[in-house]
Amino acid sequence: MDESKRNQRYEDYVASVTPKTGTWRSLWHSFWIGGLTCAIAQGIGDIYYALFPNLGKDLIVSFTSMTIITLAILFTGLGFFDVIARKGGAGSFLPITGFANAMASASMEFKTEGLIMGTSVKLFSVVGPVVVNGVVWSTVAGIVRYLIGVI
Amino acid sequence: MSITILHKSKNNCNFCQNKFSQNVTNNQKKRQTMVFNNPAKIIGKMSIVGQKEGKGPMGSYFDTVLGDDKMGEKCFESAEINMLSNAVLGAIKNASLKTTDVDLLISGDLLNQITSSSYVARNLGIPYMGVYSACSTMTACLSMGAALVCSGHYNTVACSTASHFATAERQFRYPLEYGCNLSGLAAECGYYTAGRLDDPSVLRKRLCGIGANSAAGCLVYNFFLYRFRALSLDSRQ
Repeated sequence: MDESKRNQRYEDYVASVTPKTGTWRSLWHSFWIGGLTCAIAQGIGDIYYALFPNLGKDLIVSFTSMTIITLAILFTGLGFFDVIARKGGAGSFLPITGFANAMASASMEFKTEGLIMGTSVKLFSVVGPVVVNGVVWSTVAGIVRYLIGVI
Repeated sequence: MSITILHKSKNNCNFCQNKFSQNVTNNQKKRQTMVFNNPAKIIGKMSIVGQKEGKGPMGSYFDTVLGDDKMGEKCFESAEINMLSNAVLGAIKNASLKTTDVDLLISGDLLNQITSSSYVARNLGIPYMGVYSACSTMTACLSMGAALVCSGHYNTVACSTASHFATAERQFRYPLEYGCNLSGLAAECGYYTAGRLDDPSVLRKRLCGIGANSAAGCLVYNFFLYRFRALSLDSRQ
C-alpha cells in the first residue's frame, strides 16, 4: 500500500474526530472571565478605599492583590478553579489568579509525598520558569537602565 | 504464506486498502507481524476501570467499575498498585488457576521505574519482567508473552498494565487542580491511543492476527485501563 496515501487517510481521520475549538467563542469566554476577575478586584480595591481611606494607594493595591490571590487559592483548594480556568483560558490564568492557582495546585498535588520532599520541592514545578525568567530579565532590564543613565 | 487480519467491523476499516481484509505480504510479515507455529491462547482476563470509563461507550465490556478513585488508599499511586494487583489476581481467577501456577508476570505502567508493576510483582511473588512502552504496553506485553509461551520457555504468562489518570497526569502533565487547557488534539490523542490499543476486542483480534489458528501454550492476560478517557473531559469527577 502507498504509505503516504495511508498516512494521509489517517491524518484525515484524526482531523475528522478532533473536536473543533471555536476561536471567537474562546475569545469571548476569556474576555468575560478575565474582565470579571479584574472588575471584582477593582470592586474589592474600591471597598478597601472606602473603608480605610488613609491607607494610601500602594497599600490598597497590595491588599487587593492579596485578597484575589487568597480567593484563587481557596477556589483551587475547593476544586472548582480548574473548571473556571478550562472555560476562561487565558482570561483566568493571565491575571494574578493563574499564578496563585499554579502554586496551590502543585503544593496540593505533591502533598502525598511529604511536606519537605513533596510540597517544598515541587512547589515551583509549574511556576518555576515564570519566577526564573522574571528575576533574570528584570535584572537585565535594570542593568540596561542603569548603563543608559550613566551614559 | 499469508494470514488475514480481520477488523472489528468487517465492512468499515478506516485505514486499509481493502474493505474486508488485508493480506499480509512477506515483507510486512517480517516487520509488522509475528507468525507462530505453536500459538498461544488467552485463558483468562480481567479489567478494572474508573467511573468515567464505566459510563463510556465501552462501559459494558469492563469487569469491574470502581466507585472510589483512591480505593481507600492514601494516594493515587497506592490505588494504582491495588488495582493492578486486583486485575492480575482476577485474571488468574478467571482462568481457574492459582498464583503459583503463573510462571511469569510481564507488566508495565506509566510511572517512573514502572513502580506499580514492580510492587505488584513483589506482593504476588511471581517472577517478573517489566515493560515500558507507553500506550502500547498491553500490546507489547501480550506479544512478548505470546513469544515466550510459543517458544516453550514458559507455560503460563500473565500480562498486565495499569494507568491511573491522576498518576499519569502527575507524571507527564500538570497538577490536577492546575487550570490549563489541553489542546483539542492532545486530549483526543490520549483518548484514541488508549482506546485503540487498549480495547480488549482489538487486542484479542490482534493476538489472533499474530497467532494463526491452533492452540498449544496458554497465556493469561488481563486488561486494565483506568480513566484515560478523562483526559479530554475533566480531572476529577
